[in-house]
Amino acid sequence: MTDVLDRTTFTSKPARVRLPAGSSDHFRCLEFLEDEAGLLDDNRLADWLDVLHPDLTYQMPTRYVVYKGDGDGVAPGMFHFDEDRSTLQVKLGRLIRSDSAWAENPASRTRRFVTNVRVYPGAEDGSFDVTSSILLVRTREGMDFVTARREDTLAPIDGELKLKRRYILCDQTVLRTANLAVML
Amino acid sequence: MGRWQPKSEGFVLRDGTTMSDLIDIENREVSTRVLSDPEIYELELARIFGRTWTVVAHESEIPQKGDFVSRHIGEDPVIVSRDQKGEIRVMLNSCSHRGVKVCRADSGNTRHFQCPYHGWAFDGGGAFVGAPIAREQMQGTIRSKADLNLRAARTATFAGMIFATFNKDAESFDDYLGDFRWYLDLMFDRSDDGIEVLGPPQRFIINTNWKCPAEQHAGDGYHAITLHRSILEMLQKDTDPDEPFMSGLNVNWNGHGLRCLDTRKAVYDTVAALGADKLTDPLERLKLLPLGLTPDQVLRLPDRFSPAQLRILADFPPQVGGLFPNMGLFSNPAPLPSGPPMYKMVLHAFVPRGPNQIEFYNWFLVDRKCPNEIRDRMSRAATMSFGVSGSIEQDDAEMWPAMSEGTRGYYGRQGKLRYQAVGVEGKPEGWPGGGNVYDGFGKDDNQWNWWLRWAEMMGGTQEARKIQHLDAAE
Repeated sequence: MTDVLDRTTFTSKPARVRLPAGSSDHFRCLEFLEDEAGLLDDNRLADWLDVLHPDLTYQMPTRYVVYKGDGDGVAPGMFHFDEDRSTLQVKLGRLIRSDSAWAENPASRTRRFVTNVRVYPGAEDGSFDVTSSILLVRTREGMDFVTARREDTLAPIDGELKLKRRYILCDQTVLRTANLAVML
Repeated sequence: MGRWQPKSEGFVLRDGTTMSDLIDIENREVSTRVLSDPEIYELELARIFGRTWTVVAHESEIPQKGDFVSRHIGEDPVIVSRDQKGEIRVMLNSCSHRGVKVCRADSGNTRHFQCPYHGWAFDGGGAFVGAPIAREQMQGTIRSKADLNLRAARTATFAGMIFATFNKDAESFDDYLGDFRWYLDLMFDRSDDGIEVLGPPQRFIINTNWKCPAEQHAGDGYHAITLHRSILEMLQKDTDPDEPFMSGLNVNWNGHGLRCLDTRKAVYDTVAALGADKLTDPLERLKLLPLGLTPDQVLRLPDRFSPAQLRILADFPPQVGGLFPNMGLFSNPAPLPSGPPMYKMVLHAFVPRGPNQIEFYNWFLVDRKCPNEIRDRMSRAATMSFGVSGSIEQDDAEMWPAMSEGTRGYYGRQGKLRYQAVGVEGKPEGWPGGGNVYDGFGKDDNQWNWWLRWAEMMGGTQEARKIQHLDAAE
């Protein structure tokens, strides 16, 4: 009897060997993600800027719905976020310093649920590639949700991990939040 | 019954309200009821989105034969495709059999759209091709094959932006743009190479009525002083009302509105830093200003534009505006924290999804010849300020729901929107552009003219019609 499932369809990428869950490197990356999510949940934006690498790339591409076999519904070139360290400094600087940044005044309450953390050895010495799932719940009058897979690169500066790359693949083609004045 | 009467000059709502009760021409007031009333909303779908042109896509989203994207005209889903002849076609995404959407993807490439329900098939232009089990003639013989085509829309393009309408009797696209075209050319049609999208649009839901962003984009510069105060703080500008965004000129035509801003004013520190403020020759100034064009393209501007247009492009370029009914337009410099100022071209569509919700489409556009390195910087600059995460438009998206909610309640919907900041119409000496022009500090005139066009299209008051036509005649 032949196997009715063509298993090749379930493995889009060549398998990469993750660092074992519970290894010290895994815990180190997990702590990083938990801590930075905590900073954002607590609206400590200036402190969050400190965990960013100077050479940061932070992108969230737009999505579109496609038929099976037509790719993964993400095209290069257009983004919800297309940031580096300096643009985030400006964007968040506005939210931090101004009383007139109305999108976050009053501030929404946000909660980030970060799960499914997998850690891989990074290309650079001492760096890690980390994938995670995030559920962002943003609450003020209404309740908005964003879900995404994040692909991060964490790289050390003076032995301390910093966020060097974040690629946010959101699941929503049409975002159900009026603005992204909050970070993922 | 008691529904509005489509064949009458105006309309009467179930409770007897007429258009004249909603738009007070003499006092320049609009009843807040129009922002949430479901009966008025249904009327808008028929009389505005069913009757005039709206933008659905950009040509560069469907470059190859067979490419398509799924979009909306009003609440009607449409397919925008490039057929096998290379022609752009727009058709209702609703099977002629049972009405199912024949296409449920946002984009792709196909020779045929086949309905997933019973398999009826249509070509890239929406023509009925056949139904499964041909020998059984499941489409019957009562209707001809041509009767079974997907409903086709008229299409037109400007600078690659694809506009469409299902109304066979709609004014021509040229008449729709009218005097506005002269200004739009300066914003988006500045080189033979054309423009293209950076990629698929940002799309997001805002709980507001579509008219809230639409009337703002027609010409509301005033809100920048308060709503966008934080941006002025970042630019370290005080908020003296004469500066920095209010100096210029408001133009409206046929409900469209835009603002030409004076590049010689202090807000353009970057311009001064480039030394352009000391130059008077338009082309010499344009060589230094951020335009999103290559140096070669700048040198070819005189082949494309009259000396009068070049002067406007250098000194008073049209930068922000909107097209009636539901589009926003930007073409202006965009700062980045480091390096030379970039340029952004932006197109918005506020697609209605009920009286209290829109889907916001945001496209960023770039010259086709733009080198990749500059393209990356332009994307970054545009995204920093505009769209769903942009520092400027984050706050706009906060206001429109607040406007909707404030006017939705029992008492809220008995209020008025007031457009009583009245400017003096008149062109400055030698102004070469057309349309209704208001010089100086931007007042409410563009937005008021937007409402007059709205009233006219809704089958509005005789007065609205008369005023529109008087303006048009001048």
